[in-house]
Amino acid sequence: MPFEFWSWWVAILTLTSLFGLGWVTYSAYFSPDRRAKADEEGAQSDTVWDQNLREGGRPAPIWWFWLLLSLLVASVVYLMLYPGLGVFQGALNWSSDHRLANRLMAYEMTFGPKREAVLVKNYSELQADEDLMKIAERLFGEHCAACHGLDARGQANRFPNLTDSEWIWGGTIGDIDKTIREGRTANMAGWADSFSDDELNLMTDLVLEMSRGESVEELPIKPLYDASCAACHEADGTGNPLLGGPDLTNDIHLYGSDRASIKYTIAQGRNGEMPAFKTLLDNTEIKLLVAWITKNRK
Amino acid sequence: MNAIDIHRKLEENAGLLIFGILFVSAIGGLVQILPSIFQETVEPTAETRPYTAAELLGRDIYIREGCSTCHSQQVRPLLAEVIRYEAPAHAGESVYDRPFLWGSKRTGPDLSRVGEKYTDEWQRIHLVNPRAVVPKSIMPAYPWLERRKANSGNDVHLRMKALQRLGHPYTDEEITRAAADVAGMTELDAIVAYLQSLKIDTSVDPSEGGH
Repeated sequence: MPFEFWSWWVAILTLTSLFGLGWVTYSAYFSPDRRAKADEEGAQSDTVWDQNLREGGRPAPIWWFWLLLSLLVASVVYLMLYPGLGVFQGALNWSSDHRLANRLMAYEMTFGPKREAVLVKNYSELQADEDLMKIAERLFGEHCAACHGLDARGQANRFPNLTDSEWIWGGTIGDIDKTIREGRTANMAGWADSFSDDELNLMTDLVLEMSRGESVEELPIKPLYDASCAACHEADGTGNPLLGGPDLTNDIHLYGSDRASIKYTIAQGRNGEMPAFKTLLDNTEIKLLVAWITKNRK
Repeated sequence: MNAIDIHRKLEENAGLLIFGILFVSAIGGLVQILPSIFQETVEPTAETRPYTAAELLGRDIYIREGCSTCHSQQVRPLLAEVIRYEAPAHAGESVYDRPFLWGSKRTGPDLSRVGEKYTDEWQRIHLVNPRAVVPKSIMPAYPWLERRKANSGNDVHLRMKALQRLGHPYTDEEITRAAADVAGMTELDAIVAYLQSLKIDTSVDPSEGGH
């Protein structure tokens, strides 16, 4: 059945019900029969049950009538102002979409200029502004802390510490901005198929030596390192931020610094992913986050 | 004839009274429910598609574990929710949800736009032990998801067939290869696939109605 039919169906049923309720209410209080009865002392209804049982016949208190009447009036006023009677939109033309659009516009008018103001400031100005840094901290808590932790120190041997000096994908403002915006995908191959267990152990030793800052040039496994690992980690182990190859010459190892973790990493490889936030965050938010992150690191 | 006379008649005639009660209590349904049954059906939005076999299994695990007790999947058209979760929910986004999982309570956050907000790895760590990544989380841990096979009942194709009968546009080929698609998957894999599928439909103009 067509849309119009149901629109009228709803409207007519609603109005008929309202009218019917009004009539029942009025009639119950003000029919001539009823009023005569109400004046009698000890009034009783005419109905007799079981030969001699009679029901008291007094009407309900009059304030009930006023209550019911005001509810009916309120219903009618509501249906005139707001949508309810079929397709009739109501005199106020109210809808939750309009309300949302208006509030979003008001929100934009309040905060739009403030967002613009952040974009024209430079990073050191932002970092000096305590209120803005508080906002940035809350943004970090909302969007970043699930992985990097509320204190930005990283978590779960998976998500990097953002307060130290190691930046796998580069630590300049431009690098960090790009990391947040575009995300990063890191793939380290696993070498279990190519290396023998001895080679895996020797390579683990080499990585441990490197992270202590000791020279590994003399180690017999170094040529294999040069052939297999140097492309991403560089011959001297200092890493390559363009490829996301971490620096191996410090004791910071994302997936664990103990021997077993390092051996596992070499054998099985690792996959790390930072999601892209460019659709979730706007330029202002990203700028504030970069400012906050670079302010808090060593 | 006035209301009192009618009342008297009803009081003295039980059959009439029963009919009267049924009629009056049906009016609400006649106004609210009946028209919506006959109105045109809700069309899926451009980016809404039926769940893949893995997502479907994940969704059933989501239901089994009672996730919707604490997580809603509906963004209401209110300013604060739209700022936090993006565009409000659209009816067309839910056409392949049987039953829908809109939920009515948020102990945890709304999940209708959680897809791709976190990486798969984060979701896995978090489901097995939420405290590993969110120290103050009160969400229960679900470590058994990692140990159980998603399609252990070997019935994912039957579930899809049932939905196909209800009108979900699965092809017979999709149903035939469903078991192979989810072979070896754990329940954890399946529920992560489901969670990552919960995305905002960017094809819907947020200013347009429909929720």
